[in-house]
Amino acid sequence: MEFNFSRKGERKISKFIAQGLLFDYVEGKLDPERKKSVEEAIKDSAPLQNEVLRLREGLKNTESLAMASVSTELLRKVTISSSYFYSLRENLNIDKWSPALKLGIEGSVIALGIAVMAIIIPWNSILDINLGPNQVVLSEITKNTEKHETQEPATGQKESLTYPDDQNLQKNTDKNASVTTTTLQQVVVNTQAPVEGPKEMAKVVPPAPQKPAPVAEASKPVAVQERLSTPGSSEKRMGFLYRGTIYVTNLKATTPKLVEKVQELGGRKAGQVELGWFKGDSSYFHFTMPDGKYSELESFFGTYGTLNIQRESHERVMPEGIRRIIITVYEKK
Amino acid sequence: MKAVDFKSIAMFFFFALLDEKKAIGATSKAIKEFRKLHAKKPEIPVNIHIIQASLKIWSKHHVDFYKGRQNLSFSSEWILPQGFDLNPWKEFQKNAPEVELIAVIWSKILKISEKEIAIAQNLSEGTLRYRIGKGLALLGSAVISPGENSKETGTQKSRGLGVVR
Repeated sequence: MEFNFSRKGERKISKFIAQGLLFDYVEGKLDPERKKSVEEAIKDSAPLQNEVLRLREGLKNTESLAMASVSTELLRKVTISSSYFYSLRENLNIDKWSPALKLGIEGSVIALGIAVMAIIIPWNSILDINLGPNQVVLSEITKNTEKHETQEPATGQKESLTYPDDQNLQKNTDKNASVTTTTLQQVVVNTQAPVEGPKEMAKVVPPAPQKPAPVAEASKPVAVQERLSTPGSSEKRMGFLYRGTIYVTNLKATTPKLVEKVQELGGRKAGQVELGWFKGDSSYFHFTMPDGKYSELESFFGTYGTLNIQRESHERVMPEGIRRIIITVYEKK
Repeated sequence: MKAVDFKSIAMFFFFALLDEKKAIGATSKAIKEFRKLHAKKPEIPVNIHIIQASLKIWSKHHVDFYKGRQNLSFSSEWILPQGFDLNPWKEFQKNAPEVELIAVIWSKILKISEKEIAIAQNLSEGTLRYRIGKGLALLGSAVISPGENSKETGTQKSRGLGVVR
């Protein structure tokens, strides 16, 4: 069965249809009849001719583009560049970050690295830096090794050397000279008596104000001379003694606390009596402690009252870093 | 996977993005995506999976395409014919609708059959050929009269996806 497409048997197409078939026409995919129809439409239409020209130029351009290729190096790169780091970098779009942000992050990373190095690396051992007292006091040794009152006494002289620091009063102050003299006299006397224990020592407890005796003055130069007669004493290095007083309320309750604190700070008794030894309305603290803890001791005592401390020269020399302290705590009236 | 398939993906992103760095990154992602697709359904022809994987990655980069960003340094990794003028293609890439650009690249540059392209994009062959024809005409305009093409096709690009048939 044949179809009559037109009166004359022609298969003419409109320009619109022709335009739609131009691509097939350029590629040569139209049947002969259709091709002829399109050619006739093109012949009479400048836009269609222009369109054909553009299609042909476009095809020619793509033909040359099809010759492009990639190197084997690139192919290898895209094959193996699926690592986590690369993906992370691509996802973060680091290239799009502002320079200030990149600089800030780099600085933070560097600072963090330096901080970690400063914390982890043991700089103390590397640079041999002594950042604190690392000395341990095993024993206290007085440098005066000669046989005089400054030595730790035999039993017969316990009382006199229990408070050897009391003898320093004679050397230091004028006001206390008489008192010291009296005390010294007592010490001299007691050395001849047998030792009876701490009660005996009460007689020579730290100096209390007393009227000087005329006899004492006569004995003073003797006692002093005895001390000063020590050969080579002037050539010896002098130590220091820290003597102080404090007035507190409720002495009996406060003294144990002070004892505990002194012990906590590393203080140890320097005489025969225990820390906080009571006598009447006072308690007596004679101890040694590290220099570094002294300020803490001061502040702790200061919470209970006003601590008045003076440094006095003394023949007894303490090891370096250790100081000897005598504090008398009185009941506040 | 054969080397020629890698080349197709690499060339697609090169011509589509005209950014070498992005093209390399997109290519590696598309390869990973292809491996996933092909591992699931190995019976489907390789070219179809190539196109599908590439288009999936392209959807993440098409924003740059619309912004017209191009970054070409013509490094030795990309081998172009000597004396070849890329300017008409640059203009075409900047002005062409996305669908026409993709169609021209796959069919006329990478020489993949229109049937496989249509299957991969879930289109009819007629629609695909229409897009190819429009794209080629646009490219031809860029070749014949460079610069004038931007006025003619500016409205086409502003529609987003261009004329959809």
